[in-house]
Amino acid sequence: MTKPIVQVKSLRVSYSDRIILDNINFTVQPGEIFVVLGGSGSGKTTLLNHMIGLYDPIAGEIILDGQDIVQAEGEQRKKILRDIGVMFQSGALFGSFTLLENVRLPLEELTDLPLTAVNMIALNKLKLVGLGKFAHFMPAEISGGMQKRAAIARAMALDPSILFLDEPSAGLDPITSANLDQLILRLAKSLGITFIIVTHELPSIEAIADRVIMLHDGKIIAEGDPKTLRDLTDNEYVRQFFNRRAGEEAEKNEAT
Amino acid sequence: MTTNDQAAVELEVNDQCLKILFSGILNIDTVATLWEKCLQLFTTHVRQHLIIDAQRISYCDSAGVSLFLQLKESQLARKGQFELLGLADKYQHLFNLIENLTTKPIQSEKISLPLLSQIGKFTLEILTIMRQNTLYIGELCDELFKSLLSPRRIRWRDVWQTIEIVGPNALPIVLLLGFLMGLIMSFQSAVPLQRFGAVIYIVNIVGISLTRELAPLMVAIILAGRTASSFAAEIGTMKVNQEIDALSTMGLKPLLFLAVPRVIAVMVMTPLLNIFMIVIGLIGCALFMMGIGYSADIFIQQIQSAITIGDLLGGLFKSVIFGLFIASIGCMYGLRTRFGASAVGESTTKAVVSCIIMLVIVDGIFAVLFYLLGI
Repeated sequence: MTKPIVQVKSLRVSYSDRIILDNINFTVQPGEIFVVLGGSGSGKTTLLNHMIGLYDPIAGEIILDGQDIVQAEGEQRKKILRDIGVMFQSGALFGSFTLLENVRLPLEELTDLPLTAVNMIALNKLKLVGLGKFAHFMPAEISGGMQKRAAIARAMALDPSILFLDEPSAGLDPITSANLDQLILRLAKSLGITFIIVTHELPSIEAIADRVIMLHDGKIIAEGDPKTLRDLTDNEYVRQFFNRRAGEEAEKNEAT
Repeated sequence: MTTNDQAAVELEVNDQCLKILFSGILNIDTVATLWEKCLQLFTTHVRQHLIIDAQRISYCDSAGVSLFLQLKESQLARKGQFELLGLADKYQHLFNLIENLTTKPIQSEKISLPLLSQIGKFTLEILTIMRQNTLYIGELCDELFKSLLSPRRIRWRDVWQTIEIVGPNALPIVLLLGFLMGLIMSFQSAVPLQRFGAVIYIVNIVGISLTRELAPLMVAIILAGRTASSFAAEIGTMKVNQEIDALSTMGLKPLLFLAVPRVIAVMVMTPLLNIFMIVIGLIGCALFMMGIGYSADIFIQQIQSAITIGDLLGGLFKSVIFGLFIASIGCMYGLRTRFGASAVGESTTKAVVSCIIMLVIVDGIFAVLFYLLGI
C-alpha cells in the first residue's frame, strides 16, 4: 500500500453546541477518485470547507500531502494551498475577468512565470477542459456546465496534486453532467490527479468513483467502492439512498 | 371563479346540538365567503354537540377541509363534541390525511433574558465588533505598508480600473456640486456682509470654508455614496458567489487582492477631486463677484490674501484620510457579508451609514487637531 495523500484523523466540528461532524477518519490514496456522499445537511460541504482550510475544526488533523493544514500557518499554509485546487459549487469564477484571466490569476499571482508562459499555460488548461474557443468570454456569457469546467481549469492552473470538487453535477442536465464525469475520469487517468468529490448524485458516483464514504448526521456510516456499498450494505439509510424506490416507500410509510 | 361555484350553509339548532349543513362546491373561492360566517354562527350558538353535515357537498378541496378542521379545533377547544357526517370517501380521505398531519408548528425558541444579561450580551456583541474592526484595521495597515514597501505585490491593473471609476466618473457630480456651492455661499453671505460694507470678504468666507472644510467633506460624502457602497456591493456579491473563498483557497489574501488596490486608488483620487472642487467653487464665487461689479484682478488678489498654503494642505491631507476610511469601510463590509441576496443590501447600507458617521467623527478630531497645531 502506498503512502496516502490525504489523511483525516478524528475530525470534529461543531457550531455552538450543535455537532456537525463527529470523529471523521479516512484516508485517500494518490490517484484515487474519492467521493464523499451524503444527503442534504449531512455535513459533507462542511467537511470539504475544512479540508480546504476555509475554517478550523474543533479537533482533529487534516493531512494533505504530508502536512497538516489545520496547524499550518503563513508560508507553509500557502505551500499546501498551492498543492490543492478547489472547484466550488457555483463555479465561483471572478465575474469581472474573462475565462482566460480567471485561469491566469493563480499563475500570475503565485509564480514567477513570464507573461507569455502564463498565457500559454492558462490557454492550455482551458483547452484541456474543452473551452479553448471560449477563452475570451466572460463567465456570465457561458452556460452553467461550461462555468464548472472553466472552474476546474482554474483549479488545475498550478497543477495541484489534489482537486476538490463541490457538487460538480448539481444543477446540470444528465448529459452535461455525464460529460463532466468523463472529463474528471480523463484528468484523473492522464494527469494522475487525486480527486475528492462531494456530491449526492448517484449516476456520476457509479461512473467515476473508486471509493466512497457516506456521511449521515455528521458521521461516516459506510465506506467502500460504490458497487459494494450498493449491493452489500446492511445499513438501512445507505440502502435507501442507493435504492430510491425503497426511499419513496419509506416516505409513504412515514406519512400514513 | 365561475358562476357555478356556489356553496351554501344551513343551520339546525336545538338545545344540545348545532348542526351545520353544507352544500355545493367548497373550494378556495367559496370558502372565502363562508369562513367568517361559519365561525360567527359557531360563536353565537354555543352547543355541546357540533355536527357538520357534508352530504350535499359536490366538491371539496383542502380549503373546505381546513374549514371543517377549524370548526373541529374550536369545538374541541371548548370541550364540546364534534361529528362530521356524510363526507364522501375521497374527501374523507383528504380530511384524515390533513388531520393526521396537523402537528403544531414548532415555535422557534426566543428566550427572554433578564435585563442585566441583555446588557451584558449587548456589550459583548459591541466588544466583538470592536475587536473585529481593530483586527481589520491592523491587517489592512499591515498589508498596505508591506505593499508600499514592495509595490510589485499590488495589482496595478485593479488600481487603475478603480481610479477610473472613483475619479473621472465622479468628476461631473463633483464639479456641479462645487460650482453650485461656491455660487450659493457667495449669494447667501452677500446679504449680511452688505450691511457692514464688507462684501469683498465673501471671497475669504468661500475660500476658507471650501479649502478647509467643505470641499474635503463634500467629496467624501459623494464618495461614501458612490464608492463605499459600490465596493461593499461588489465584494459582498463576490463573497456570496464564493469567489472570496476561491481566493483564500488559492492562497491569495482577499485583503491584499481586493482591499489594497481600492484603498490606494481612493486615497490617490480624493485629493485630486478635492482640488477640482475647490477650483470650481472659487470659479462660482468669482462669477458672483464679477456679477456684482468686482473685477477678476481684485478677486485674485483677495483670494491670495485669504487662503494660506497651510489651509490648502490641511484640507488635502484631511481628504486623503477620508479616502482611506471610505475605501476601507466599504471593503470591510463587503468582506463581512453573510450569505444570501439580502446580505449584500445590508452590507451596502451599513457601509454608507458607517462612512458618514465616521466622516463626522474624524472631521471633528481634525478640527481639534488643527486648532491645537495652529493650522
